[in-house]
Amino acid sequence: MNSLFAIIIGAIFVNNFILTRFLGLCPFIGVSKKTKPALGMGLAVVFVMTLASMVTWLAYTFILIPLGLEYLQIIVFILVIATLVQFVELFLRKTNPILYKALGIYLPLITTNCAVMGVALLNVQENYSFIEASVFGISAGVGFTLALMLMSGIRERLELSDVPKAFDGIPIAFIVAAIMSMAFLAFSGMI
Amino acid sequence: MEKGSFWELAKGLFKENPVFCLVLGLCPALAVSTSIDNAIGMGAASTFVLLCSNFIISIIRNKVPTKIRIPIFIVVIASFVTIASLIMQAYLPALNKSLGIYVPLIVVNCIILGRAEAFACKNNVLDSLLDGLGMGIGFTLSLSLISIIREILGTGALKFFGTTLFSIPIEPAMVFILAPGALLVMGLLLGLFAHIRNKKYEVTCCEVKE
Amino acid sequence: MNDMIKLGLTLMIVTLIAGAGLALTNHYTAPQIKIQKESAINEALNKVIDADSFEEVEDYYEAYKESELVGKVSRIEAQGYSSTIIALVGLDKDNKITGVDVIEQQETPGLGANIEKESFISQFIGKTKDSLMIKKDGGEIDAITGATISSRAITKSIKDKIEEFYGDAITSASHSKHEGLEEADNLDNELEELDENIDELESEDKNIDELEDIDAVIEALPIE
Repeated sequence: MNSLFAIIIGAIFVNNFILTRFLGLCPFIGVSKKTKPALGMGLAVVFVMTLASMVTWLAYTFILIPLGLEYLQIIVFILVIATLVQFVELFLRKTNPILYKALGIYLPLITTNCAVMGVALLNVQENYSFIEASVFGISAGVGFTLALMLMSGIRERLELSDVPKAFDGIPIAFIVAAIMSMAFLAFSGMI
Repeated sequence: MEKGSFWELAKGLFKENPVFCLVLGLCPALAVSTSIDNAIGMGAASTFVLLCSNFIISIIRNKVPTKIRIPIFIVVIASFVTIASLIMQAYLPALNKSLGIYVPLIVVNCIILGRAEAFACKNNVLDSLLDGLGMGIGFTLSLSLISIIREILGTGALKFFGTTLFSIPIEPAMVFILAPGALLVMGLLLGLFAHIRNKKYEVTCCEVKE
Repeated sequence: MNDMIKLGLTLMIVTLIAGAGLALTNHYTAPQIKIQKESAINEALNKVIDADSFEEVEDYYEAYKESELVGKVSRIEAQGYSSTIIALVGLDKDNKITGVDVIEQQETPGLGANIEKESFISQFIGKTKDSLMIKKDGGEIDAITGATISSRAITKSIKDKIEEFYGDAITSASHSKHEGLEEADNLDNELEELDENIDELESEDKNIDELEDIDAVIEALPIE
């Protein structure tokens, strides 16, 4: 139980996926201009990350290891993630059009999201059990959403302020992210 | 013809530099730019994958059904990343250890899939190879630039594969080696290049149309 | 439907070709990768103790120099400030430290991360478990300024590991003592039995003597 708590706090605060590990930067910069799409993206990511974490763990433990095919890890993981995203998109479109409108459009972007692949790879590297891997998946997604929401809130206000022309848009977003990352540094040593 | 081919190679270096112009490949750019050894190692590995995948994709470009082209590109890219990873584990274990999970993460490097989708599947083999080479070298150069700045400001010295090239007499600011430093250096450099090019950035990947 | 099947098949063929290519690469690189891993382990083990060969025993390595046991190398895991510190500790036959090497840590760079440095690690060489605490806690180890937690964590972990081995040594010593005492008891019992046997034999002897006496008397009797 103690170690699950450490995983949760670790993934959300201490080793935040975006602000510390730099996984998931592309959507972070691309989708964080307004709060509503940011939340949508964040929730979609939590969902995909958790599912992907579980499915890749199962594939690695019950297929790759028994057959001695660990070297196929990269190709299997990315295909699993891509297929998962396709199925989730199809499923959402057919069963819940409202939810699809809210989250579905972000799904194709998640396939090449470093964060999802990163979670799958880290589960293997850290030798997590199934429960630990699933918890890690959820927590990483929550951490991602947290950073995204904070960023979008700040950027909405930035739109109204006077940013030097050269820094307008992406460069200032990075500098804001740098300050956020510094704040999150304070969490190190918490666990 | 001459100008055309040279352009394919050269554009990746400056005019269409993947990191500072197309804003692609950010994840590894920030994560491994703590030392110039890592930067060059990552750049070389990514260039290898980029070259091979551009090559294969360009060859099969007319036979790939459009509907499944993305999964096929992914399979091709993932295979070359695995090959690169295995080679590094076997012959460059120290580099493999410093780069860690960012080696397999080359597979989701927007640059590689981006070039496959935007260029290799529409152009001939030679041009695709040159494009891959140019983008790869450009990527390596950007990574190196970020690393040099971070390493000098963060540790006070520049170490190149073991030998210290030079050191500055000022007390280094460790924040540059840590996470915030990477984001800060990136933001400042992006601002600098936006000023020089007098162009605002557009995120080419991961933008959502409302 | 037909379309989907055709697409699915195409994808499958591409994946199979890719898989074959990877299997081939793996075949050629796997032996070298194995060599790298083993030499990495041996290199790490050699950093902490001077030996020719190592043998894995339970959860630690025994170190041999020219086929003679010179000590052992054990792996310790310590809960540091912001990460689990993993290190190798080399001990000689008297459980004195021959070397320490930190192989994994994610402590604060510039502070706790400096436990990797020679200047800190070399303090451990030659120490036994008795002085193995940081100076703040009454021992002889100089902690890193500003990194008390990291320093204390690794020091305590090493001390605990040595005590484990001592504990093993003491238990095995008392085990031997116990066994020895048991042996002594058994020998006592055997002695008793032998004594009894001797008594029996002696009484048999007496019987034989008596019988011989009776024989002599019978001989002496005139034949009827």
